Amino acid sequence: MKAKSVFPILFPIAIFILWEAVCRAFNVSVYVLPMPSQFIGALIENWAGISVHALQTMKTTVIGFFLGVALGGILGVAAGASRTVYDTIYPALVGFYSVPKVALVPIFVIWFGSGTVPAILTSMMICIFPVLVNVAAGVATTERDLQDVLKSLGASRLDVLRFVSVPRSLPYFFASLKIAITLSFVGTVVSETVAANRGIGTMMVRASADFDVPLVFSGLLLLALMGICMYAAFAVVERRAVGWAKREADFGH
Amino acid sequence: MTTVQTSTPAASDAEDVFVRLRDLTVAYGSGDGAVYAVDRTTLNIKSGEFVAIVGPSGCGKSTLLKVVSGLTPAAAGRVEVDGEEVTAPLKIVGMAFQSATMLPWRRTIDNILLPLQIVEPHRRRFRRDRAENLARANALLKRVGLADAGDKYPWQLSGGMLQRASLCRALIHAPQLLLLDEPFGALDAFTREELWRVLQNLWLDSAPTVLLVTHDLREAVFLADRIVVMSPRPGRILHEERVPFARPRRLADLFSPEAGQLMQRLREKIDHRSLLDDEEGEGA
Repeated sequence: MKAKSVFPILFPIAIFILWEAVCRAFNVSVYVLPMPSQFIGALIENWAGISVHALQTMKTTVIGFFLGVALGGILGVAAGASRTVYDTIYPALVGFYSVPKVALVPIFVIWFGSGTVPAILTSMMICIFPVLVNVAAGVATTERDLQDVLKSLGASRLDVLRFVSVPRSLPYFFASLKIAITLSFVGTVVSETVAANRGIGTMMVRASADFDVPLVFSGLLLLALMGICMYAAFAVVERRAVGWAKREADFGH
Repeated sequence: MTTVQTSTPAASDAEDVFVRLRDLTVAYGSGDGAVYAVDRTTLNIKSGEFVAIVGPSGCGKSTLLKVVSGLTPAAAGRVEVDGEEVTAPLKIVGMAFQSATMLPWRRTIDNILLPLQIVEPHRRRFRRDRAENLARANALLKRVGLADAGDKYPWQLSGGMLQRASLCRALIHAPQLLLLDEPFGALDAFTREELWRVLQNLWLDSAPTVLLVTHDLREAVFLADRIVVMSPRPGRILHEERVPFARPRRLADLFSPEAGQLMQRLREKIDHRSLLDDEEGEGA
């Protein structure tokens, strides 16, 4: 293992140490900025209660993420394959994506009541767009030569999609998953802060109402950790699935 | 005057013609803005014949190939392959291009099998005939000197190896017509000569009809039964030569006086037109 590979772990630890030192040196109030030792302590101390919220947020995020990725992927292939579909749906999509997702939550609550469903839907909505845009780009930029190879064999448009355009767009797809999963957490938590009785978002709102600032920060820390874990998981999936795009030496031997 | 004296003109007997171009015109764009790539070209190719088309850059050689394959429609005139007018891409065609165009996510062997996943009747029974298909692909790989490369990804192969694989892919479905668009254009001279031999062997194995587009006169002389010279755009056929050497040909044939004279005649035709049509002709 190279020394460099521990840098990504040392970096946040260094920040936390600096943070702790500054707080101690200037005697910063816990209500303004709790020290890392305080909110990490709060996290461990309250783990039994927090884990219920964490599990809820994780579950909601992952369900919303997969729904959004499926929808974004299908629409992306359609938009990439057909200029007409692209031109038809794109302006509407941009408009839709420009609407802050937090504004949708009250509507979802009217339809489905508060709780899990609005959070899943918000999480889904927020990750459709990056997946769609990336997949569409991957499909639409298929090289002419590659298409000609297939067309000269009498391949249909569907064949070209299946054998060339879709596999070709997979690196774009996996790159977008890493963006989508982190956005997905944002969607879930936004919805949870507005209308839910479980989840990290809910926990943080309640904690801030109680002036339990360390607990608010431990919620943030937990979200960051979950985001990193999911991001890393998809980075691994990406490397295994589309290593050919990066020509990695450990791929395919 | 030195043309077409070594044997009877090709394709004089109508029943043996496999590819027939008649007054073929190909245009990009339409109306006043149309650019003519190929202009009223007539050419007959016999079944099993190896024909090379040479000419300056941008003379419509590649376009001609695309029209024969059915990828590009003709503006006027007619293209027939195997007695049928070409209106859509043909299933009996294998193609190879200057870039090897391998799919980077597939291992070499799976790249070579690709046509079998698309062309009927192989497509229908692709899974069932897996073992047989693999055997065929591996035999081809061995024939082109790539016996060990089947499991490698395209980015693990050199340019010459990629073109060998590309030839295998073009031939895997046993096409009756092989269309080659400068397949060796990006290779170094020694690799190119090696691949001429490989291609000649493949052609001698199964004798498909071949239409080869090339810049390289030596390549044309080494490989082709007949060489057609095209003019700069809009492409027209200026000249034809038969190549008299026996098969299998050897590189030494290219150093014979006949080959030298043949290449000189071809060169003069190409240069002559280039000088007339643009001032950048190299001169003879």
